[in-house]
Amino acid sequence: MEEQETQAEDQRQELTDQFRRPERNLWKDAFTQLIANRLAMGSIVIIFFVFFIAAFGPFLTPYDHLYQDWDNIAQPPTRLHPLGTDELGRDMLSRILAGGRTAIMVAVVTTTMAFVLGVMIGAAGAYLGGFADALVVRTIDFLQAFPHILLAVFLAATLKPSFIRFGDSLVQQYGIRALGNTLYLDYLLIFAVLGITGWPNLARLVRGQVLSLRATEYVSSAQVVGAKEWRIIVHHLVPNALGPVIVSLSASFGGAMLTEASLSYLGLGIQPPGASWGMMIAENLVQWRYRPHLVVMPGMVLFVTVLAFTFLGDGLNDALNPRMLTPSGQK
Amino acid sequence: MKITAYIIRRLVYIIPTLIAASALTFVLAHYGPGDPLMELLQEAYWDEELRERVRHSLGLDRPFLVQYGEFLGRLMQGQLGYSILSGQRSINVMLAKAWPKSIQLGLVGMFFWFVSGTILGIIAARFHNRPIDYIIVSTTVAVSTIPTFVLAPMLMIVFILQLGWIDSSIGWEGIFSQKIILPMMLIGFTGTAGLVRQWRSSILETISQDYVRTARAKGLTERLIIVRHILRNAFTPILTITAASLGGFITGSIFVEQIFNIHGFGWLVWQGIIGLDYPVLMITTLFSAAIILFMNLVVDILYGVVDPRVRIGERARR
Repeated sequence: MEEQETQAEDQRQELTDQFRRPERNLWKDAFTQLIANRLAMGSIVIIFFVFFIAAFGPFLTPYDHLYQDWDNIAQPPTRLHPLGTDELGRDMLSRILAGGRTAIMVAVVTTTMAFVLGVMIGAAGAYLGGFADALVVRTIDFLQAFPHILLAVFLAATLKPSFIRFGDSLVQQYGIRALGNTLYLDYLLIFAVLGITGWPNLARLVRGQVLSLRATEYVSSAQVVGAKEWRIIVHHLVPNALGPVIVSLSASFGGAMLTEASLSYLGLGIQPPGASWGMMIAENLVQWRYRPHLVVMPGMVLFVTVLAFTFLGDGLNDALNPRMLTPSGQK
Repeated sequence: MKITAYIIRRLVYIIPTLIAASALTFVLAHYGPGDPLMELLQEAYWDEELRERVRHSLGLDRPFLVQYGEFLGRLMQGQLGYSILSGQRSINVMLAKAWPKSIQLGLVGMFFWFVSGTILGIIAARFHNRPIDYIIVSTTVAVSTIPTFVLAPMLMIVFILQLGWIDSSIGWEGIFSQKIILPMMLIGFTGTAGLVRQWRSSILETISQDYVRTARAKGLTERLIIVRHILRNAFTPILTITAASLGGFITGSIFVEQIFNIHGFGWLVWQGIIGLDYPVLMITTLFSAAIILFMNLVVDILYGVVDPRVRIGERARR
């Protein structure tokens, strides 16, 4: 009798083992789905590559991006200069790599700033409610009433003289030579401008997430059971809001690169002789008829990089927000 | 009656926003660059007394709020101030000259945007989840991602240098010249991806509605089903994307007009940028914000016209 029972038990165990499905959770699912998305995987490869050249670019090229080769001015690609030289004899490959460094640095710093500001302000609005919340919403609406690039342009144009004065005064008072170098001031200016214009999107998202998640039943249940607020935040709000925030960060990463390139193109960002893809396009646009490759190369690099972030954002959106039907590309 | 109340309520919200925008631009334009006199003139030629007199005659020694109030008052009367560069020209005159070109270019561009986006969106929805759908969606995303200042030289290289279909694209000769083709495409392309996606998802959602099944069941031809039942009902969300794309058209026009040397609104912005002409930048930024706010209102009102189910008086009560 007993033996039969154990046998049946074994059989049952075997069957459950056979049909048991692997444990699933959102992150594993999302990862599997992202791996299956060929466009997103290609984008990740490109993004890793761009990060790589941003980190190690200066060690990879034979020339400094400011070095002028007077014997080879405005050359098409040759063995000496794999991507040719511009009209001042500077190696295009070195300059594109240096531009990548600028783009990645700006994107990393400003996205971090937008993330910190957006999360703090958005969460503050949602938690404090009342007047503070109204103020947050109105400020976001207000900043988003301007066309994004135009606001960035206006801020950059008006803040620039102050930054230059600031740098001058530092040099005069303390003798800090490094800050007299306007290139660092250009970076600071861009960080400030993109920090100011970058946070509203994220703040709106975080505020909405906090408000809607706090209205869910599982948060109410947690409250009923007597969970402390920090526990609700750590165990319920953060994990659930993380997906949309990651998607939005990927999109804003590409957006920051684009805005930096646009500002530099318009002459308000990185100034010559620094290197930025946007500025290289502006410098070489005048001679598009005679030396189209000088415009096409930085343009293509900028395009492919930004596109990679867009596709990665879409892939992450499909993977992390299965219920959300609208693609991340549109606001 | 309800609609009037709604419009008034919205205006009550728009006007403070615009005043705040004017305050922000004024503060930045006046305090950011530092002393406007120093920017204007070489200090070597000025002694202290003369500088004070000029400052007094320009009203720069008065308290900030008085200066801002005067700026706002002049703005209300339609006096937009004077450009620092280009010989103190009135910004009113500059804008009056610039607007017609920009509006024509914008309308042609939006027409191109709408027609191309609609056709591609319908095709993508018709063949959804098939290769042609993927190709359309990812290509339009790619095209809309390229910044205008990258796409413009590439299109010029292809159409002018390689193919030779167009002789030259630089300059403005009205909307019935071949010079308009590339600017029109570039303005339109900035928002194509959004429109295609919106049409696609909107149509796919409408297709599964009961009334479409009814129309099929009663034997309507496919063409009539698409035109009368699907497109008409799928149209409402398109209005949203139109309003959302407006900022893109305005910023797109800065780059397009700069590259193709079209002396319109965007070119004015560009001139303001390269000369750091703060009055011009201030007015153009304010104007763009005003256009966007008012167009959002217009679109919200149009909702009620296009879709009778939307009762806008009620939406505002939320």
